[in-house]
Amino acid sequence: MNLFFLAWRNIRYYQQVSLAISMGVTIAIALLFLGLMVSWGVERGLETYRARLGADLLVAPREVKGNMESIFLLGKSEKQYFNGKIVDELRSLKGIKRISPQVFLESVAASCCSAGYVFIIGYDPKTDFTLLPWISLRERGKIGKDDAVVGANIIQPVGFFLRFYGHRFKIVAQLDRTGVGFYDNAVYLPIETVYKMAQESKVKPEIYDLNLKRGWISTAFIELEKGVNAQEIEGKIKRRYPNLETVKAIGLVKKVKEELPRLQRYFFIFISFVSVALFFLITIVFYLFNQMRRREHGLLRALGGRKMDLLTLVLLEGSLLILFGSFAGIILALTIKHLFYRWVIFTLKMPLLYPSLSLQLLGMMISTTLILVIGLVGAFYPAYLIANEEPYESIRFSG
Amino acid sequence: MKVSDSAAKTLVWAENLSKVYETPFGKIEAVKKVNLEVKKGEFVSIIGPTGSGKTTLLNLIGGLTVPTEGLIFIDGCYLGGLGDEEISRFRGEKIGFIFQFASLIPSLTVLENVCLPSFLLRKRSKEAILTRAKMLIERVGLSGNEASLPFCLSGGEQRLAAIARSLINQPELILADEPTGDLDEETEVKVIDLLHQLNYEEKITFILVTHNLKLAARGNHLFEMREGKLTERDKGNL
Amino acid sequence: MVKQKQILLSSLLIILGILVIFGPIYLFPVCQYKGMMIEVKKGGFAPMKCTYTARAEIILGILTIVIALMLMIARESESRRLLNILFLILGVLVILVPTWIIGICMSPTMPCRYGTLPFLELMGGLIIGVTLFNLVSEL
Repeated sequence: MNLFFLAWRNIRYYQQVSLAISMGVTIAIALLFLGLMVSWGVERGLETYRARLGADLLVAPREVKGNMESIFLLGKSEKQYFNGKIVDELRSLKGIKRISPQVFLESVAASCCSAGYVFIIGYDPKTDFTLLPWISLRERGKIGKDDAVVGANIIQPVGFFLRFYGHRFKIVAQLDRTGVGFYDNAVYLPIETVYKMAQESKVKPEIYDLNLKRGWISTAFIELEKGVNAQEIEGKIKRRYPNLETVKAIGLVKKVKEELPRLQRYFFIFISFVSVALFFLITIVFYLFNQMRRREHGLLRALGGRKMDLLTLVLLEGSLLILFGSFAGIILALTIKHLFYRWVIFTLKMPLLYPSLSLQLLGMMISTTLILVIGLVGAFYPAYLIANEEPYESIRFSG
Repeated sequence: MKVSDSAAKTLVWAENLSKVYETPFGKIEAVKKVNLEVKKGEFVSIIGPTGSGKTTLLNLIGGLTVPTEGLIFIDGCYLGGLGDEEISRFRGEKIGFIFQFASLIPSLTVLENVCLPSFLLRKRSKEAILTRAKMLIERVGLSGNEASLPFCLSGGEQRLAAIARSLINQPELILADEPTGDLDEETEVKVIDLLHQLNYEEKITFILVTHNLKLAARGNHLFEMREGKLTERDKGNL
Repeated sequence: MVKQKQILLSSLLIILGILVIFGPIYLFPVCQYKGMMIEVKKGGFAPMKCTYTARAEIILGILTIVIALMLMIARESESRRLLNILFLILGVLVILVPTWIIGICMSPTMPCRYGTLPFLELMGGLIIGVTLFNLVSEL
């Protein structure tokens, strides 16, 4: 028997108080850890997104103005199309290096329970420069008209078949996770095949009419020549085609990037609030808990326990409870992090890619250490009071 | 038995002992200039009405509180000169306490409670402690209850366990503060018999605080405490 | 001692029951409460699968609360064990209703899939966790 044993027995004996303290710690740790993961995750997501986007300018119909982020970040497609001939016209515009069209199929939300359940994008294999560079050459070489490239959220693996609008597609490649719905929920099909499906949808009675005319597109990705002013090109496009809207790719990222410090500031305020609240909670609970056990502590002193023994015992009890709470908190946080991944993306409207395993471990250590320090500082004062009281005073106290 | 020959060594020596409490309602002088000498092997009883300062005196002797004035020597050692570390060790080694209330640690079993002072002292091996604890539990008649938690025991059984605990470190002095206060008559006699038996067989010195005059009269010396003052009483007058 | 712990754990389960009832409606609403319905050919609107899941969860939530109240007053350890086993079944059902028994919308962009489903999985997991703790600590 030693102080550790005694602390353990006390924790088990005073189960309700122990449970209450541990649960408080569990919630605090889970909040801290999740906050860190989201904050770091958005940073990582933004970096990946910027790298993946590849284009400088995006062109879309005027009607979707204001929804650009929900399209290109969340992957919520809009059923607005414009004539693809414009792409060929723009190609000749000075300053544009590459341009490639994409067509998004009907918003999956409206047909969730019947046909497709993902974001279907038709791309032009001949001109594409945003998707194909991310696929290895070997896979690129064998992409046929009924082959699909899928985002990370699609559960079927490479080699399996998907069925959309009465067509069967073979998955030939899967993209890495980006944390951006636009990429992760997408199924990329050759644009010609998409037009064919749209045509068929008019005659096949079991399929909704996709309402997409051959040659019409949803967006065009533009890469500019080096040194060209994007603003200038945007102006030219808008003047020439008043029904089109343009957005700078960097602007999409920038907008989120500007919001990130605000998110992190909220997170910092939130951490401070949680920490202060936890500090007071632990101090008060420990104070009341130890007050309740004053006689017990006085007895320990009368039976030969030193001040240091008592202080160690009380702090040991606190540390054990905090460690149990931390363990449960980390497990809870990992579960929530995993389960609510997409919910966070949709709620924050920001790309989110959780940090690497080593950073996650670091996050666990930071949150546990922070709470342990706060908890022990909070527990120290009541423990110090008890240890410095005359044993007779503590014993006289009748609870 | 009478231990009054001058050759017997003094175990407790208190001189001019006073204790004043500061309360929101003013000062309370619980113990007033008390002088007391207890020799080794004696059984001393202290009687007195509630609030007369008996418990405070016992706690002063046990080093659980510091006197406002006066000196206490236990076995020649001046308590006022000891630091926390030393006085804790001294208490653990020399003094056993039996309190007037249920004083077992509620989270520990009877066996663990009895062992506790020895573990706090960190002097003997685990095996030696356990062997002695089991022997003491048997001696106070609690065999079979080693693994029970205190709340499973009756008031009398808890008191017996506390007696076993007070003996674990083989103390020279046991301070018993109304150890039978809330017990029925039969158990009360059983407990006091046990204390006298220990006094006789193991030559442990006892200072017993009680309300019960009949029980108090069985000691070598009888003191009465009134309004903080201690006077020796003749047992013949009882 | 047992009594106080029983009250604490029963209260926790009651809170979880309330969350199971109101979560799919207010906290992490299914599609219907976000104004999403299927447009049927005749021109009307019909609720989607997830709506029925939310309704089934209301029943499971009420059952959780009722059984938690019974657990709060149960005296015999045998009846407590029985109630705990019922909780285990309820916890599993809370998870199985949206994933298997009724299901929810298929699209990953639907609120029921990215919000309600993980919420119900978490609630079911917590009910099972609390119950297991309860069962183990009574051994």
